[in-house]
Amino acid sequence: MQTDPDIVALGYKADLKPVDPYEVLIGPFYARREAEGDYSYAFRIGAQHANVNEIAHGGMLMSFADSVVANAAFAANDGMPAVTLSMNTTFLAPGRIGDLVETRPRLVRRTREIIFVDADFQAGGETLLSVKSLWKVIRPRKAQAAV
Amino acid sequence: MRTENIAEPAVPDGYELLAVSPFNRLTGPFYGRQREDGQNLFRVFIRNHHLNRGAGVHGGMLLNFCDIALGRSARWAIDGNALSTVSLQCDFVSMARGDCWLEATSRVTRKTRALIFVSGELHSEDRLVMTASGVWKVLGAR
Repeated sequence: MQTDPDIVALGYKADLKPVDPYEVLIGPFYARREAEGDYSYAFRIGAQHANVNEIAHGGMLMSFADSVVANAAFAANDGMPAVTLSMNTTFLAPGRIGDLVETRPRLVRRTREIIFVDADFQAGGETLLSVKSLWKVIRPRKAQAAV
Repeated sequence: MRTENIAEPAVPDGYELLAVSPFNRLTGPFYGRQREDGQNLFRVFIRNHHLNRGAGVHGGMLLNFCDIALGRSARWAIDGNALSTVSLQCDFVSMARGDCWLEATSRVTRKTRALIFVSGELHSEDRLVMTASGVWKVLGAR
């Protein structure tokens, strides 16, 4: 995988964890550990991510969102997987080819059953999309059975 | 039943290949069928590269297909103008697997001069996978 030196210069690393085949197809995605222990994520919009209007495809932006918000949900679940229950996305501005898209997902609340994570996605000082997501907690025994 | 070495089936009867943007080419091909009753049909054949590490269809791919299936119904409801997604709400009802078609239905629920409201569902092997609703903006509408 070719890494983007400009993204690495911002302190990001290409995601080296075992990745999902779909993320190999549409990535690479980058992660940066923040001083508070949480993570920021980034990817650069490429020509392959464009729609017919030659801006970032909404499906690509949501795919990136689902992938990185999942990591925030897993972290809130003590590293155990969680599954997406719902994702509400508001599109505020178009993403241009070449834009670096960055986000720092926020854990809003964790209950026994549900994890709430919000994320805003910025490029060039502008918010492109805003996501509110709910994740179902998977308990260790159930997660083990699913492996 | 499934067999080994499944090749992608031919374009399903009555469906057309949806206009191919770079990202649709990367994650498709997607097929659509416009129906007179407004309940439009869509399909994509799920391959390994659409999956997550748990062998289910990646959540991002489900969201992507939703955007395409609902957005296409919005586009079919107007003439010519470009559209952009304003908002999309998706509920993940159950997981979907690979080596089979992922199907969607979508329909326009309301159309104003500048906005189009669409709702839809995703199914895999006759199981409900996702319910969704979204709003599209007609670009250049006054």
